[in-house]
Amino acid sequence: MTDTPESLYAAWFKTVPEVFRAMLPPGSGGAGSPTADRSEPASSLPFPADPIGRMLGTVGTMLTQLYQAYLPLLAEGGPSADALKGLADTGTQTLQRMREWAALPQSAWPELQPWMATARSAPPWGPWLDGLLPGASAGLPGAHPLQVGIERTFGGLGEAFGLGPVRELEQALREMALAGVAKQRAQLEYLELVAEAWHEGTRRLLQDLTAMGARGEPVESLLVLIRLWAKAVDAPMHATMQSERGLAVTAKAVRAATEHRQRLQKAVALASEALHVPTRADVDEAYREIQELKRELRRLKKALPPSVLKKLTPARESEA
Amino acid sequence: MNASNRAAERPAGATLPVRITPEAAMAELAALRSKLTQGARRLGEFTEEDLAIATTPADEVYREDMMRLYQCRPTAAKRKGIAVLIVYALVGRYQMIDLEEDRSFVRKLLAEGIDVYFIDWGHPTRAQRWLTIDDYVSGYLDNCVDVVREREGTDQVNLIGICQGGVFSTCYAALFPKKVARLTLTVTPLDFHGDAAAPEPGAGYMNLWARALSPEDVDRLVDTMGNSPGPLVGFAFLMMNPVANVTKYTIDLLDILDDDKKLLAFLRMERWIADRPGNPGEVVRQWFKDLYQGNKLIRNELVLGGRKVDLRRITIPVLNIYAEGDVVIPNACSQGMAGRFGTRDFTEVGVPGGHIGTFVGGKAQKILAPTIVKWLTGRTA
Repeated sequence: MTDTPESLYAAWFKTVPEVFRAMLPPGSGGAGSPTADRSEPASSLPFPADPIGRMLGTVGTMLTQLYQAYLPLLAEGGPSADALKGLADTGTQTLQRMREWAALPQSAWPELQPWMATARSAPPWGPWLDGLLPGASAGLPGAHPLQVGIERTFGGLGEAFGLGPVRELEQALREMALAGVAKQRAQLEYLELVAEAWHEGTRRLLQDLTAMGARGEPVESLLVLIRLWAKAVDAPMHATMQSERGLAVTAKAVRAATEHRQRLQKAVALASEALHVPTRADVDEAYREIQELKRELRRLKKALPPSVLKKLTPARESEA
Repeated sequence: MNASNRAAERPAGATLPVRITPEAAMAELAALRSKLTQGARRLGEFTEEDLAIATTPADEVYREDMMRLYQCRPTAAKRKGIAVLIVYALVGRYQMIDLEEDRSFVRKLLAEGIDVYFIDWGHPTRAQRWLTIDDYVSGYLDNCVDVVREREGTDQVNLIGICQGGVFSTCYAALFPKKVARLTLTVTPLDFHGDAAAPEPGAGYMNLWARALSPEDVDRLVDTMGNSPGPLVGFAFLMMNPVANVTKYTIDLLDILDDDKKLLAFLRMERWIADRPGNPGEVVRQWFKDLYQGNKLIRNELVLGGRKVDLRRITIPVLNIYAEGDVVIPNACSQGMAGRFGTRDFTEVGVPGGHIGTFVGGKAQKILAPTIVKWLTGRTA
């Protein structure tokens, strides 16, 4: 995520198609669902007409796919309660399985790879798992116990030849890898929370539709059905995220992400120091000293009588 | 029997009341696609001028680091001789107060004959990572106040603080009471734990989230991030209302594509939303630990630059305006503040709408500026 207005859209619009993917009926080929197109070259349209315009293209593709996926069900008289319930359950069950797998020791991960590949491509939540699952980090340095053993045995020899920093760096990378795994697990737990809220929302949609049926209010448009769905999911999403567990899981995800970042920064600092490159901490420290000096200057200026201050800095130098 | 007939003949109550025929669905899709195509074409026709925000003519009168102080050019034939300094939050840009010509808080104040100054805090860079709340209050804000005092030939200024800017203004009024004539607070969190006793579903997520973190979590967040990046702050705001923010860019967007006025209003608002400045790390640290977690402002325990911020030192007239539908700052955090300040002249007003709607919403627009102007003029020295 870079610090530009466009990057906010890039990050958010990447997640939007996944929500629509979760509305696709089972077996409708959700793996090939649309994603926001970010490959287009920068346009000359004034911001934000450009990203919103691209989003419109994505919306068109998403709706087309959604409508086409529901056609067979509509031909049979519309989606049944079982179909909607099944759709909600699939997502939650997939995530529950993912969570169980993620809790397994690292040594078991390679054997899970075939299942992981299947899970990643499975709708509706699968694609969100990309980058969250252990497979992504299984090959990081130090992940294998044999590698750790060899390093411990021959590390002393390396140190004798002045390779101490290399050992330190390897240790830092190992710590980073472990923090990366913890981050993935925490993110997975967060995702499970979202899926649960979605499940509850779909359950409420069923209740709402049943009540509408009893009142004799038909749904005669897919767009209306989508809106009803969104409305039904909104309340449980808030309730879940504001619940004690929701807040704890969110805090855990933040904690894990920052701990991973901390380890990453440590590794980079070690490498920088070894190469005599100023580290992030060095630069920050310089900025801190500058800020302290500016603060001191401000205090001194404020202590001066206005007449003296005016002579020293005539007519507020910085005044436009 | 064709599909349409099967759908129509399904007995009500036996299944879900979804009565959409494939033909109707395809016709609806065709109409939507046509609308999308026309909308995309319309988007391509908008110019930079069409999407410009904060267009009220204003002149820069002071600058320091990334911060700028502007003075708006007066528009009213008859001026009231009252100047205000508007202090916006750090988490968004000041343009919210002047989003569109017909949805501009600034223009409304000018039209009423008020002289308007406002601060643009700008985008802090990595060099500003160590700025504290005190640097903003006792540094930038105090310098801006001095410039306004000098230009207006007065000892005291009228402050209008917005949200986080309201907290800064409150701190300023407590620390520099002789320099402030009247204090107006809008959608300002004062009691950061107010929502704990009266939680509102769907509101105050940021409060809950911040309190769920430990102080060590906050330290690590700041230590590893430095400044909190603007888009990250923007993303956090989007996540406060995830479902609404998904439909907003998809199915809700369909509703406004053929309405130029609404589409332009949407795009201008989006331009503002996406322009999120980063926040200096030390400000974030203090904001989270001392305010969200420690609730030190309302307890008169907040310390800035070694000085305690005591709200009881604020003896000037105070007008506190809260948004009745605010989900960013729950009402319990911004309302019911009588007796918290040292003043005997305290007024509290609720305006319809949400946190941002206070400044751009149709109903709130009719109330906000006139209420402030009436309150200010009623207290002219």
